[in-house]
Amino acid sequence: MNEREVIIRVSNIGLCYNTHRQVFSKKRHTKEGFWALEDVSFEVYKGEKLGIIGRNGSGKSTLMKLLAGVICQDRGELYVKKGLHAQLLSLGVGLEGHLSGRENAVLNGMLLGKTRKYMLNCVEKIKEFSELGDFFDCPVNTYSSGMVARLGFSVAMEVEPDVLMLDELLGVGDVGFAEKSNKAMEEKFSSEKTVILISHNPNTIHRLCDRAVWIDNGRTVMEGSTDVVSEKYTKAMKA
Amino acid sequence: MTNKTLSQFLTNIVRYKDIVWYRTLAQLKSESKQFYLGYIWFLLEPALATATLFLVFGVILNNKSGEFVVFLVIGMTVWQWFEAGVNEGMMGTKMKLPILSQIPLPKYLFPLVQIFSATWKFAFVFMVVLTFAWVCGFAPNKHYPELLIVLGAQLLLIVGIALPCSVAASYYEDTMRVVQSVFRLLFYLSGIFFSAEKVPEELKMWFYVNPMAGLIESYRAIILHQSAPELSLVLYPLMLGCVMAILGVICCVAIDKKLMKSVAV
Repeated sequence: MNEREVIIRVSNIGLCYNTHRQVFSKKRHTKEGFWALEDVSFEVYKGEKLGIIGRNGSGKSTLMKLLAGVICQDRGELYVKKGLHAQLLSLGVGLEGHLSGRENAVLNGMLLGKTRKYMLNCVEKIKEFSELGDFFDCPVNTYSSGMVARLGFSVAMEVEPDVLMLDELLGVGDVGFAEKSNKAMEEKFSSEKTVILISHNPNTIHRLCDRAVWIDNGRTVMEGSTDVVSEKYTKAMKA
Repeated sequence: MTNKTLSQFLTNIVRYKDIVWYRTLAQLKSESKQFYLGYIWFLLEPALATATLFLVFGVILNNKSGEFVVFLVIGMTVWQWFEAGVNEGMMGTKMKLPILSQIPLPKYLFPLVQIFSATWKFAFVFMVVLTFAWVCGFAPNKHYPELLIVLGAQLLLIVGIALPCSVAASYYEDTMRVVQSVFRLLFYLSGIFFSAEKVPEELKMWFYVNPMAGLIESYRAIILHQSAPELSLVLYPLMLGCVMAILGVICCVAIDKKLMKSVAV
């Protein structure tokens, strides 16, 4: 049996948020802060679909930001394979209200790591997928929130990172588009792509992922097959 | 550490140059679309500021010569570039925290976009100023190429002040208030509406501590007096800008993955 390639290794990671920055704050001279992650360890293999499960506030979103390279750990080690591009699925981040959907699609794709040329080549595909029609060339500040989400999702689907990270699997827009967006996301799960999905829903993790990591209070509770982890997690939540 | 930081900065500049360029253009377009008069405001804003100064120092204090108007326009235009570049550059990171909380981007990226956007607006206005000076009898002369060095020194100075301030402003909003107070003082001490000759000899050394004072005088030397600017007046802001810009890049790299752990979005 071939040994699977580890592309990300998280070893005993601890991460602390520090927000005491006021001259009259009693904690300003202390190194105290809020430890969102205390001791998290797991591995991500190439091509796998990994689910990260945990309650609200357990440190899942912080972990995603760490893996995306937005923040760094305060202790422990993080190994990310050289040149690996791990990207959080961010819908509509950085859209400029006065610019059109087309202009925003290109600018947004560039922020997400694609070249301008690449984005110009796929902009028609984005227009088609988003079903925005003539609105695609109108300023984004004339869009409804559903239309903004459609644009954001359509751009995100065109940006192909090595590791796609999803913070909850949510339908985007109205019923029709929600179905379409869910289908597009599920296609990512049946492809060769490495996907990390975070959720507090064991059924979603069980349905879509190969393996799961359970995190609670910033610590790894369990790592293993989705059957076992989901079952133990559900029991713990009901206890 | 510094060598590594610098080489990382240069690699990133090549990697992110397109983002900086197209976001700068998008920023200009977006800014113009916010107003009914659109791009006209880029010209109208410095024109109104100069008209205010002319009303006070030209009409009320009776100094209505064409030379004085050009003198004022030069001082006011380059000052506004400096002020807008530093103020907007300083807020570049702070304003884009929602993006930076999702996507790992260098923390000097958005300050540079803001600075280049202010620079484009200035470039457009400066061309009009040079044409206006010509109409008023101050034709282009052999020292005009030297303007590029003065402009370069000022751009570097803006980058050098804005980058460290953008780091500080991301953590502490107080930075903005401190910088604005310093700017209010510098506005009166940069020789925008008076000539450096009027500064008492014993205070001249202190007057030129403000790098903008020397730069404004250099622009006027070239455009109005058709002479070469004094070397020290250009070298000082150039060196200061260089050192501060390197310091700014080091600060931006140092906080790169720490910033989002300390600020609320």
